[in-house]
Amino acid sequence: MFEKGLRSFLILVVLAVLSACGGTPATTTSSTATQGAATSSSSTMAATTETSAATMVAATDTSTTTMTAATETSAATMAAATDTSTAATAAATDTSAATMTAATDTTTATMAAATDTSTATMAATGAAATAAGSGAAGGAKTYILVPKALGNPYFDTANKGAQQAAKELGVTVTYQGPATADATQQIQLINSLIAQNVSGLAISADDSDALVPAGKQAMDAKIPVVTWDSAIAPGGRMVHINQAVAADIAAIQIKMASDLAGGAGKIAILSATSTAPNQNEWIGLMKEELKKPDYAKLQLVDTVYGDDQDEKSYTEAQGLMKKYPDLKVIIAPTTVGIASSARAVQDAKLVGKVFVTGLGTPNQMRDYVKSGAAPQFALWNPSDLGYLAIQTLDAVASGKIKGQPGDTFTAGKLGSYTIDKDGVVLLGKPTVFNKDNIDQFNF
Amino acid sequence: MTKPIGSAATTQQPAYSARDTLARLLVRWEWLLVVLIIAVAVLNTRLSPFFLRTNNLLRTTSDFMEIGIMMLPMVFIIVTGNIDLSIASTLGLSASFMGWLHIMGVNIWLAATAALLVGALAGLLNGVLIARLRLPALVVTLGTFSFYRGLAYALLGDQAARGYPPAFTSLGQGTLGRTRIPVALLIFVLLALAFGLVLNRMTFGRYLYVIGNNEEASRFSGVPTVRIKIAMYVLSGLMAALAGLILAARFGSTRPDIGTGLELTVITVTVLGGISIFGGSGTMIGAILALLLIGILRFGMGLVNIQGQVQDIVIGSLLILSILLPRLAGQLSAIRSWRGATLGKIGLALLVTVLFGWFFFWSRTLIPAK
Repeated sequence: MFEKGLRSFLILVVLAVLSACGGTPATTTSSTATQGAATSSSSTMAATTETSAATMVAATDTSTTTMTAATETSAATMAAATDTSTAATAAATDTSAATMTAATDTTTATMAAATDTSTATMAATGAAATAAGSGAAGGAKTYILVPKALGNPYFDTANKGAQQAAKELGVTVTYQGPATADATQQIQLINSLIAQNVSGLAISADDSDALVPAGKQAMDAKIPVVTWDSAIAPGGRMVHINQAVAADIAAIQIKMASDLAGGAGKIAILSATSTAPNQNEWIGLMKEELKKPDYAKLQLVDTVYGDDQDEKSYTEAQGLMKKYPDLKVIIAPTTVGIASSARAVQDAKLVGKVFVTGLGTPNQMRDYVKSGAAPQFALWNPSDLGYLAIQTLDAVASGKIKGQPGDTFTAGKLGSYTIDKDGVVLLGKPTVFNKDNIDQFNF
Repeated sequence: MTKPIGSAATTQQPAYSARDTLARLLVRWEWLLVVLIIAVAVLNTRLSPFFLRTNNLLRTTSDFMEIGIMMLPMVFIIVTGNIDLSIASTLGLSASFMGWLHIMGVNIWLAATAALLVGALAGLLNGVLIARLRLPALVVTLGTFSFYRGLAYALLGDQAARGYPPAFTSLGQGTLGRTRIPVALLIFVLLALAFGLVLNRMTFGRYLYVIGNNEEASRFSGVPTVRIKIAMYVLSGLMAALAGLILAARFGSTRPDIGTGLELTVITVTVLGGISIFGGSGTMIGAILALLLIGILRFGMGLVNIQGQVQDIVIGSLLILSILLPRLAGQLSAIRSWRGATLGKIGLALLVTVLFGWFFFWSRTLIPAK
């Protein structure tokens, strides 16, 4: 049994290697001309089922191409591969499908010109048809927006911005991520994207270090890599799009607090843990900001820590309100603390007397914005982040910029951006959410 | 393979006939896998022009080598009717230990050797608890699953070990000389040959089957069950540590959460390979074929941009089918009139292939057209 199994396995391996070697005549190293070479070995046994399969593919692809206005390169190459090879095995039904595709697809010009280098010299098992079609040679580019994981509203919002950028640039952006936020899965995904020879990758990294080799491999394969939201360490990407800098985050929170307090009064900070590096940096910068003459009448009375736990944050907020009866504003630079504080204010029936502001997400703060417990808060706009990521990627991929520090490019509606010395592009000032705009966001 | 019971009981002894058909069915399981592999390969080739490229195929192997290496001892363990849920945590512990030593300035090869040792020790602890103290494997390894991962976090905390020398990272990223064959693939192939030979050709391997069929009886007939089970868990820990080194080399860094969740993939592949979860049967070839199947299936689905969740659905249904089908086919072949006729099984195999193909195309329509 073992020998038998081994023998058949070996035969299989030999067959696979044969077809792989015989099928790709030196296309891997040569440049764009024969990029989309497709090899397909079809045994006579499975010919009938395959034909129907091919028609199915052709049919579905036609619909997608019409929808995306002939920009989906991968689909186009796919159709090219199936159609030409089945034509080689003389399937009459498929020709109509092929012409159908031809009618709607602009890249078919190159497809039709694809040379049928059928060097069918396979073993006795069946005939092999080799068809070479140039896929990515045309103008249509396919970029992939890779989030940390699928099914997260924050990333879905980023995708919305990315799709808008795609529309403006006339490219296709596919949103493709791992099922869970896991570096191993993300690397596997990136490997399959490299194999597809996509035009560019915009990644929110699950692990800044572990993804360096994968990013390098992509760039070695001439696929530009930018990161957004969460960076791959330098060396594994060309440009990182940073959502916000600490100074801006601090400044906007003090400004919002000042607005809510009417320019004067007692304010307090409710932070995460006392050791959280982000929060401590922001609090330090907020104290600097308060020294400005504009904020001279604001008085920071206390800084407490809710440890990013809902219950503890709630209790700390209650404590603040008891301790300082004339407290005007609680600033919570953490998405946990801001919601707990707003709830504490609401429960204490102090809406309109004590205001909460800070960093939060629209979905979690919507009710408090409308009730007036937290009339405004800030965060960067993930939609803009996705938009800028694709704009930056396109600027690099189309050769407008090299992705070097100092390069300047225009990113559609967001205006002009410059890559700083660390290879980072800054999205801009944080967005302020209030009752006027909060319903436009869902994350 | 030698299975005297099966070959002797062809016609006259009805008492053995059920086992006989079961044995023959298991022989066929590998063939079903082969059919599935060919089907998936053909489909992939049809669907994506990028599938059948040596470069791509070789590169994608690196995504599955850690799973493969941990699968080898898992076959041993499951053949005896046991389980090891702690392998991914052992992987994490070993890799983290190596990373921790690396941060302390220890030579990387020394650190790697120490990591292998830690892995073996982790396996030894499992083995002693399970074999010597006769605790249930599921509970013990569920405990060490958390325990080892916790140790990994204790070692590295929220920092990452990085900056491994290129000589080490080539273990996970490099290729053999000027060829495109990944180093990790070679390591796996060599290990697979060794483990396959042990399982099929050596007394140790035969004892594993014996233990899996009836542990009590094997103990009374003089099989050193305790020693064998401990050895098997030590091997498992060692291989998990090796997989950890390769994964760390591939990542070029280590975080304590490295390899989280891999144990379930490993068990999936092993069971899909026809290794009975109740112990006593299964072959190494089957497991390797299952790895190949999962590999090209995942890769193919990745190439046509099928969403991660849908990929999980496909793999999940495949696993359910893999345990459902032998049972179903076993019942069908128990009917007298079907005996000897492989028609039913071929039909079933075809049905699976067709269903699977249908699912594949159907899942393609799930890709949102943006």
